[in-house]
Amino acid sequence: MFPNLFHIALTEEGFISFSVRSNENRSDQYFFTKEDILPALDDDPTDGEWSGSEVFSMKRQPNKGAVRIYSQGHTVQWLVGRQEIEILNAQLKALCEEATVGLERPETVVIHSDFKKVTNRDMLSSNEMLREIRTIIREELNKCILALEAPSVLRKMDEEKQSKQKTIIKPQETFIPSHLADGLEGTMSIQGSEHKSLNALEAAKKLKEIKK
Amino acid sequence: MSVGLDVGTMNLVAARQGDGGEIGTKRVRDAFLDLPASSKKLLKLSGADFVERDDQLLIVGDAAMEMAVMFNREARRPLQKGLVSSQDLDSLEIVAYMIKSILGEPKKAGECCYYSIPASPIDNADRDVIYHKRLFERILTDAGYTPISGNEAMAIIYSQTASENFSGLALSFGSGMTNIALSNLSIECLSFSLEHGGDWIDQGAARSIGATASAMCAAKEEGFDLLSPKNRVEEALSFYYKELVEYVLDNVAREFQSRNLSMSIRKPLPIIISGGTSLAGNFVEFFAEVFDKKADKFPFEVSEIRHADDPLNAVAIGLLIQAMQEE
Repeated sequence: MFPNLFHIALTEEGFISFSVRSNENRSDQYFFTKEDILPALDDDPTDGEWSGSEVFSMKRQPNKGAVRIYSQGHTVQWLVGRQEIEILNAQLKALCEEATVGLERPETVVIHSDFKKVTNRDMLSSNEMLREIRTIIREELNKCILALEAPSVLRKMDEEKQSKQKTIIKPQETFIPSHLADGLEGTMSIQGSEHKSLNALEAAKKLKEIKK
Repeated sequence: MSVGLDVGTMNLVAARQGDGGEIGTKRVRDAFLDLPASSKKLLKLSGADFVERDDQLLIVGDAAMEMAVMFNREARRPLQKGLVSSQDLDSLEIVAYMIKSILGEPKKAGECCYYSIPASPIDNADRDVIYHKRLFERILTDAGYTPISGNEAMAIIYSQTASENFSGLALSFGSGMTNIALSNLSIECLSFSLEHGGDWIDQGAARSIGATASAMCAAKEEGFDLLSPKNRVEEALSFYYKELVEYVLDNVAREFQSRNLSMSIRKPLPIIISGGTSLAGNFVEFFAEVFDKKADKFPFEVSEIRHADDPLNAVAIGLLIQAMQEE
């Protein structure tokens, strides 16, 4: 079981695996394509709007954030702290660079259960043991179904399907006049200065490295 | 090629990298004065720069502040408490003109321009940061640039904390607002703004001694030592400076704790002080004295408190760094 609420990784096929810890003993694993995730990244924290695709969207606000997933006919939403959402955004951004383009998303959700917390198996009744075994078999079957589905979804989406993919468009809230400065002519004094050091260039290089 | 633009209540600053790698900055005071057309002769005789609009003459930038005294008027400021108002179309036109003047023509079609926006103020939820952001997006698009907004205080992190791997607490003491950002390894952990800055100090000090805010601003800009005020005006200014610093520190601590960030900050971080309001004499030492009294209750360990290299240009240069790292 991973330590944080979210855990993301890249699958061998190039899907982005997104696991969410539902409780102490369970995590739900979803699979997304690069195209599902990209529209949600770098959401504007000041607009209070959801950004993203139909299946994955995020909302960053000044003090908090939220993640929304649509899967198997229903929507699940998690409210998180601002820092968690920033870290998630950065991790997803990095994974998207490596994820495969043009895959079709499997709807499958894999439920993982962790039984390490049970201290003494000998103490369990036979009914409890049977329940455990059923859960493990169900989990393994789910994995098998995913493994069977994966090859069939490893085909490129055609351009028509790509164009059908909807992203949430934010509304223009206030009228903003255009060409505001066009009617003005004249002169004004401007103070200029030059900084000879190359610190800015070095800082930009370092920032690029860290963001990678 | 790209450019950084700091949109401040007191100054507009553009930063651009030259062909030899040097960084050039251009600054103009974010203020104007409107005069009747009959003043044209007088302005020509005095050699003052002015802009014409319909039947009005406008003195724009630093000269507006000087001329305001001559005409016994208050210079107008397009931004109030860090943001523009959609109601004041005159001001919007002039701020657009000033931005076009300091940026000049784009070096190539659609050149990238990172411009600063404040974080949402936590002490006034009604302020419209979105309108502010969209307006500057429109002005820059009309000028031929591709606009990208960037957090003002994070820009200070980018320009001042490369040696700490872009980790630190940046406090931008501006004229209209104080902007705050906490960054850990370039990830923004916390950012917010407070609607208190240099203007609030001027107004508070003016009220307390029966003077005008402009007079307080002039006294402040003449230069005075915060640690040893010499008269009642300076004492009043020092008093409000201390109130502002305490207000900022208390809010940083409260926001940090309310967002439960203690687990993510494990190493001591520097505090970087910037902005025009921090140019008062001995501001950093004054800040450190106030901080020392609160240090034991401050939610994380501070490695040092230091002034930005160039407090008036640090935001514009930080935005330029953001733009350069994406090229």
